[in-house]
Formats: sequence, C-alpha cells, structure tokens
Amino acid sequence: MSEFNFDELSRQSPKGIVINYGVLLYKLGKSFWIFIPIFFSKSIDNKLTYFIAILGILALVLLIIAVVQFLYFKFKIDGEYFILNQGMIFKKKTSIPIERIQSVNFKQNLIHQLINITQVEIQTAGAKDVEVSIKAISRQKAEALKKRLQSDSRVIVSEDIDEEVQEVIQDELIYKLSIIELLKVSFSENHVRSFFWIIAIVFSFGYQLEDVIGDWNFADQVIKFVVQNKSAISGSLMVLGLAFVIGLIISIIVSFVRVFLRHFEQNVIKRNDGIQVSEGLFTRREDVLKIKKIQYSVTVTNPIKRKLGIQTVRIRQAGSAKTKKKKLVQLVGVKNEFLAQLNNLFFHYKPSENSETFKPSRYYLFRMFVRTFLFLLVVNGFFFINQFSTMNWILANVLIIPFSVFLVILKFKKTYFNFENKTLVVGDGKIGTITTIIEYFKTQNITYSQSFIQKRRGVATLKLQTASGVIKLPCLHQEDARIIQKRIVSEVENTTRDWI
Amino acid sequence: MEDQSQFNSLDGSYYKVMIIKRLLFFLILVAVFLGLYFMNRIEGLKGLLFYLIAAGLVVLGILLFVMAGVFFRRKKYRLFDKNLTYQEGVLIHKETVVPFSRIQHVEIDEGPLERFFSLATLSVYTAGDSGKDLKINGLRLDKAQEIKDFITNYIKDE
Repeated sequence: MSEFNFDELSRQSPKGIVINYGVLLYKLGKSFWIFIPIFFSKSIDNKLTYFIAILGILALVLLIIAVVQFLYFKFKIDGEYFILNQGMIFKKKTSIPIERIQSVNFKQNLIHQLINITQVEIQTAGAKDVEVSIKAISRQKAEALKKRLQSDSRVIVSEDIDEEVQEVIQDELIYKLSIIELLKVSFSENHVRSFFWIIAIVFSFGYQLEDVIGDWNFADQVIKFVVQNKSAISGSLMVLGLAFVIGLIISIIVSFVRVFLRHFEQNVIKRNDGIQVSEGLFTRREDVLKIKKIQYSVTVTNPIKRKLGIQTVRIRQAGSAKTKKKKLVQLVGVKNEFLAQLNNLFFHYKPSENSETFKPSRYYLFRMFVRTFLFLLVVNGFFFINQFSTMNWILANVLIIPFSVFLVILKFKKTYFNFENKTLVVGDGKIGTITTIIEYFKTQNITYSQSFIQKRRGVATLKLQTASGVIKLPCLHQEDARIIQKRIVSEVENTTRDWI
Repeated sequence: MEDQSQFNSLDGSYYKVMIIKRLLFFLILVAVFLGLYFMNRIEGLKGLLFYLIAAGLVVLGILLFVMAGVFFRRKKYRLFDKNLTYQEGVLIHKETVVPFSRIQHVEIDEGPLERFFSLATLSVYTAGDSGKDLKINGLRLDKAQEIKDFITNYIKDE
C-alpha cells in the first residue's frame, strides 16, 4: 500500500545527523554558556588558540556522537508492536503495543523546515507513560508511518464500511485563525500572568549571572535597592503607577510574542474520527486528536475576550495531566458558533431547556469568606512587619478588602453544575469565566468527601478523577451530592462506550 | 450508598497493626526530642519550654492512641456487583467509588508487619492520577485475593 517498508528495521533520514548535532550543540551551549565570559574576561595568553582548540575538539566529538546516534537509531513495526532500538553503548529497546498509541504528532522547527524533514512524536496512554520521538524523517515517510500506527488492526468488518462512508467527508478545514484574530487574542491575554512570568525570568537570569560574576549578589542588590528607595517606592504613588504601566507594556509585548510564536496560522482540519490542529510561527506543530480519546474540554474567557467575542478552548486528552503543559492543545480565538460546533463534535452537546442545574450551598460562599479573611490577616501582618504608616495601611485595606469580597461573590455566582443529557457542564471563574464540559461516563473514579464542619452544615464535595486530571464540585448540598454521585456511578457502570 | 450496613469493616488484627505503627511513630518523636534535649542542640530547650513540649508530646500520644479506634472503625469497604467502594477519615470523611469497568489493574502488597498478622493491602489502579486511586489496608490475605480475583474476572469478561 505504501512505498515504505516498516517491517524491517530502518534508520531516520541521514539529515537526522544535522538535527542530532544541532540538539547536542544546543545542550552543550545551554549547560556551558556561563563559562563563555571567562574567555573574554581573564587575560590568558594565547587564549584564542585554546578557545578554538577546545571548541574544535568538542565540535568534532559531538559530530561523532551525532553520527553514532543516527546509526544506532532504528525502528520498525513488528506485528502489534512498534519497536525502537537506540544507543551503541547503552542499548535501549522500546516496544509499544500499537493499540496503546494515543496519538502520532508531527513537529517541525526552523531547522526541520529548512532541510525539509519532520519530527514524529508518538504518545501513549496508560499507567506508565512512554513517549517516543523520531527526530528526522521525510514528510511522506512520516505520513505513511502515522497511517500504519493509527490504523486500528482490531476494527471489525462492519466498522470498515462505516469508515469508507466517512472517507467522503474526509479532511475538511473547519477553522482558520486570521492575523487580525491573532492580534485580538494577544491583546486580550492575561497580562498579569505574563507580568509574573517576566519577573520569574528576570530573577532566574539574575541568579545565573550571579554564578558568572563572582562577587555580585543579585538578590542582595535587589533588596538593597528596594530598602534604600523604600520611602520613594512606597511613598510616591507616581513611581508605583509608572512601574505598573511599564510592567504592563512589557507584559503586553511578551504576550504578543508568545501568542504569535505558538498559535500563528492556527487551523483545524476535521478528518474521519478526529481533528488535526496545526499552528506555530517558526516551529510548526501538528497535533492529531481522536475524538473518542478526548476526556473533556475547558473553555476560558475574560471580560475583554468576551467583548471581542472570542474564547480559548483547552482540549484535555487522556494522560495529558502528566504530560507537560506546553503539549496541551489549545484553540485560541474561538467564536461562539465554532465553540458550539466543537461541543457538538466532541460531546454531542447542545444546551437545551430540560437540563438540570445544581448550585453549591451557601456554605461555599461562607467558606470562601473565611479563607479570604485569613489571607487578609496574613497580608495585614506583612504590612505590620513592614511598618506601614497608618495612612498607607488604611489605603491598602480600602483597596484590597472590597476587591477580595467582590472576587468571592463573583466566584460564587459563576459556580454551577449543569447536567444536560449525558454531559456535565461545570462553571467556575472569578474575573474570567471557566467552563468545563465532560461526558461523565469518562470518569475514572469518584470521591465524596465531607469535613466535620461540612457535615454539620449538610454539605459535601465531589471529586471526579478523569484520565486527564480532577474535576471538583465543591460544597454541594449533601442530598445533591448523593444524587450526582449515584448518577455518575451508574452511568459509568452501565455505559457500553469506551472511555478511550 | 448511605446504607452503612452494606459496608464491611477491616480485619480486627489491623487495629493492632495501627497501634504498633503509631507506637513506633511516637517513640521516634520522643527519641528525637530527648536526643535534642540531651545534646543541647537547641538553645533554650530547658525549663518551662521543655515541660511545655513534653506535655504537648504526652497529649499527642494520648490522642494518637485514643483516636486509633475511631480511625479504625471509620475504615470500611464494600464490594458491590459493579464497583468497589472505600470509606475512611474522621475529620474529613471520604468515600471513593471505583467502578470495575475503569480498573486498569489490581495489586496485593504485604508489608513485614502486615504479613506477621497475615494481612495484605489491596491497591486498585484506574487511569486517573496515580496515587489517588483506591488502597485498602488491613484485609486478610485470602479476602484480598478473593476481591482481586472477583475484579480480575469481571474485567476479563468485559
């Protein structure tokens, strides 16, 4: 059926050596960059000669390693298993049952694109996660491999016919993100989060510099600066305001860069029993999601995004609680019509009149107030230690207290649990709105928990464990909690559908 | 699920295991405290402070052993035709239901202390976050094996 034979062990494309080499050089650079200034700072005689000699030897050694890595990296398909052998000295043999393969994804960074090859990532689901990546094969071979790995050998004949019918409507582009949409997405990102991101990066960079420059203590400098200018900083609202504006501008720029790098030209193609999402500016990612493997989706929006009529949809697959966050598939700039289409496609979900909605007990509100109060006590303790003037202290509290109360009330209002046919919709959020949709037969196990305080108030919390993290239904009336628990357990026990 | 009569208690000798474990924990705590005291590692660990901490330890010890019974009695399991349910906790009462159809595998472990009382721990794994699945301590080994076989057969038949 294809020109590629996967039954025999085969190597990657020879171009893979370039990729291996690139990765090795990158790793070397990453772990040794702090030594680079040494070559420029100290006056060693003939330092240039040493420098070039060491660099040359290292480059040569790495080249040999890259070639060896390439020569000993072989894979094949053996019956029901995908086999991967690697390593010369430390041999490693991986064999993955094909039916356990969850998705086969393509990735191309700038180098891949330049030399026209593809990286293939094979994700599996299960208790012990294995992940395999083939760094460099040609696009055609990658496609052929994907076809082999994702064709389910266990399909029954009747389903085969079904699939042929579906072939007709194969490969339909259902979504494309335009540049203008992308600008909207960037503009409406959570810039506060970007702000903390920047602070984290600045600090970690500062600490790295500290290693290089011996008697320079980054943290001390920062603290000294803050202490010396304490009166100026805390006294003048001007300075604070200015810092805030500058921070915000930098954050917005960072958000723009981040969104553009990651989501540039995002598009969604519907094919057979799944969707394919591709995106990225320099590094193109291509993720294939099989619909029945989707565990649930989380839709996030905030007031600005709502004004612009867009939202972000995070798709949670089995196992993605364990895999890194950057591997999560996120559709950005989703409009209402497309969201409805997605919900229908993923969960056959359509809102209707006869759905049943539960709200958390008022105890939930009470508990959040108590927790906020404790938090404010700590904050005020901090003010006290820092000897805030009475004026500042009152000012800070006048700002913080109503804002906290406002957030708590918002959260209480936005929390609900809605049963619509066989789907559960969970509402959450403070300023943003977070909506989780799950077909609840995909629950793995369910925990009903009740603290002694909750017991007195007749309230209980439910936790649904899924193959992709926990969904929490906090502080329900205990009668409601029992109804929901029974409903979900009986659905899980009696459904004929597979959770994966 | 509210009907408590359907739930089984753990084997009585697991109470002894709990007491021994708590005793060990308490002895280690006391040893650390006395060690610190005699080696004078902590400035000011004498006089009033010493007696305060000692009193605290005594109270903690009494609580540990008095409460052991309540904790033991709260641990209950129920094997239903299509799920396994486990309850535990005093301050926070928890009830976890694991439908058989979601179970990936079942494991039986015997620690040295448990083996002495011919007890075993039954762990049930689903595809949810690991470590948050079901774990029942203090079953008689044959009982644990029986439950394991029951579940394994159910999964096979599916």
